[in-house]
Amino acid sequence: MLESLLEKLRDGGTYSLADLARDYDVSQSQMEQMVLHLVRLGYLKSTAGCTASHCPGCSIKSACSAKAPVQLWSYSSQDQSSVKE
Amino acid sequence: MIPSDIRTIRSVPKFTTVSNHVLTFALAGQPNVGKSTIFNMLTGLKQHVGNWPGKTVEQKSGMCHHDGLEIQIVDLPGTYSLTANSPEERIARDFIIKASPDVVVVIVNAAALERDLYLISELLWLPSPLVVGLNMMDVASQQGFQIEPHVLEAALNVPVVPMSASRGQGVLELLETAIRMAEQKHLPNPKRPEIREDHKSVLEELVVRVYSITPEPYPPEWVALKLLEGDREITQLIQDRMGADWQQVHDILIQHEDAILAIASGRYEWIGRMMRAGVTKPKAGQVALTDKIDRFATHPVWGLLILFAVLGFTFSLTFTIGVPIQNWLDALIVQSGSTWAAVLLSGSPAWLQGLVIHGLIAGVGTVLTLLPILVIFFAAMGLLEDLGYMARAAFVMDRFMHSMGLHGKSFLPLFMGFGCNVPAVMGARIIEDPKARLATILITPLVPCTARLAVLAFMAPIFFGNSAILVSWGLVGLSLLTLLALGVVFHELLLGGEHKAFIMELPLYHLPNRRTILQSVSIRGIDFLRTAGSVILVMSVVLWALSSFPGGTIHTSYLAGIGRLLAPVGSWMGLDWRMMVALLSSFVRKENTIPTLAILFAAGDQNMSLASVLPGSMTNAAALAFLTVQILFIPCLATLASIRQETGSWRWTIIDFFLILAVSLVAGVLVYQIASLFI
Repeated sequence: MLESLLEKLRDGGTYSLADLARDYDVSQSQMEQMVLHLVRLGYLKSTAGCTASHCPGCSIKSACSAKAPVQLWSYSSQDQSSVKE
Repeated sequence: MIPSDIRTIRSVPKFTTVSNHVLTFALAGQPNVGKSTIFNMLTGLKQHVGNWPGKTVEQKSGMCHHDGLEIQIVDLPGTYSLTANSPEERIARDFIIKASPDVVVVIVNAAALERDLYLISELLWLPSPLVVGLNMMDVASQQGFQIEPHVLEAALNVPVVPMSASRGQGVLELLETAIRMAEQKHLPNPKRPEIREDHKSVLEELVVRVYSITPEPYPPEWVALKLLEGDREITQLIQDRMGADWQQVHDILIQHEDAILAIASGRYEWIGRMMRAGVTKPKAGQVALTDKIDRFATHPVWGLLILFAVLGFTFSLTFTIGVPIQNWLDALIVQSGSTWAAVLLSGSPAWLQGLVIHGLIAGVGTVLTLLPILVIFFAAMGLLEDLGYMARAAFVMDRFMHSMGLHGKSFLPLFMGFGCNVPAVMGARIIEDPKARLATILITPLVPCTARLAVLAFMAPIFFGNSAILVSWGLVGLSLLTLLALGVVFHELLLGGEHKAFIMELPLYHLPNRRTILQSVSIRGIDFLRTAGSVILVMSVVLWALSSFPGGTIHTSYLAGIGRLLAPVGSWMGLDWRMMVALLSSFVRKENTIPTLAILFAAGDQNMSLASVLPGSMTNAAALAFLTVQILFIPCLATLASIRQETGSWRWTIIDFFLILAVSLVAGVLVYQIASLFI
């Protein structure tokens, strides 16, 4: 399941957790656990660059339209090679 | 011989000595599953609190008496798994392995079962009997979960006790079940997760190799599994004991380095099976609604169509409501204001009358009339943001961009860019890869910002009347398509086509909050008024001066001189020098286009609105070309400064400047030439 997920991510693209959960016939919560597991293993990176908790101290918040807290994870071939090392 | 670390764990905790009369139960589970509540209910005041040997992690143990039995309860630290990544995880698994409690009672949150099942999947490999306390059944029920404890029990082949500890329900049953398990001599084999067939044989081979050297009380099968998972502590333990034979095991592990994924995959597939067997969750209203809407809203094709429909509706709303109010304000502020100012300043010098009427009122006044349009636009954007739609808009756009090779995280700058390009350029900082960041920064100025959209919203109805919505919609689409095309070029040039994947958790849709929207509108509205009162005021005065001196008429002015230099370029698009100067002034602030046009067309002087003067000054094809250039035009000064700051390169800043300038002018010429054939 995780191998297949990584295979999918290897081709690049943008996915929502809900899409992936549907594709793998698991709940969104389980898909999130799987993604977090891949983060712990180093295959994915968590991008905590812009979440609601960052807004209070952000100098550009008044001009920013990304108000909704979003959690992002990214995959790259570079991350993959660093895992193997 | 027992290794020293095992002796430490076995001897230090006072209560861990197992005798014929004292049973030991270990309470395991993730944090916040109600483990402490159960521990307190079982032990009451008979607790011992200290630290685990050599650790700063709190150790809690206590005594419980039931039916003449004395039971020691050890509350293990909350852990998500048993991978020895943290001191808590190491303590929990060391205790279970080395102290061999009579029963491990694992407490799980029934409302988040799939999260807790991972820990169970690991505990099933350890030798102590397991009892599952299915806690928070009341919460799970409130959230719509239908859990079948008996089905789960059969699927796991491990006792499962439903309970709601906070209500005191099921705690006694849990204790009695654990006691029964402790007293059973022959325990049924639990149904563990399986690993892939090709790794199964490797696991068996490793068990054979480590069997004789695995120290008591480690189970060899668990040790082999942990070696495949790359567990550092177990790897070190076995390596030390194997000596020269380790190399063979090491070679096997290198050959099967993907086993770590296979083992975890096996666990997740097992979790999926358990969930499907024992848990039904009729989706709660908000989640079900989000799912239903997202089937279309995040669909690669439907999602884009919906996005453009939403944009079209936003423009429609803005024009339908905003333009009549804007016209009324124009009559009130610009036309009446000019008349009143002319009366009040009748005895004053001509230059002062010119400054006030043609500079301040025509410039700042015309910009102020944009406020209703902007307020409606900001409110629509605020509504979409608060509804949760803007995250989908960015997601759909990003997926589309990704299909053309752009960076996944570029969605955030894109998202911000609709507000203002300056934070959008700064927002690209979240992209770690310097080349990907550079590519995103260079295309961000092509996201139509609020100021550009406001100019579009003001001018499109003047020239195109009822077709303004279609024109605006098309120009925003053109802007985004240009962004994509340039993105592909930069991606290929800078990144050599490297592809990245990106997963996003979309927020649930929810009813918009009136206060949040009002706050968003007021913040942006005040920011606009501040700009009108500072930059635009100064620019209006400067533009008036440049358009009045020397000679006192606009045709002999400095501005006319600059404009005439640009006139040849304008002529390719059917635009006279005044329109080119308006474009040029937008380099300072995008909104400057409006006051510049107002000053150059002397709207205040003739008691006529800019809206009534402009249509007669050019053809519709030229107006379309003007709006095309305006929406694609070079970034404003502040955005350009941000690009310089964020890229740290004058070279890229200048390349981006001239590239976008060329693209906008070429697009303008093409639009004019093609549109002239039809309109």
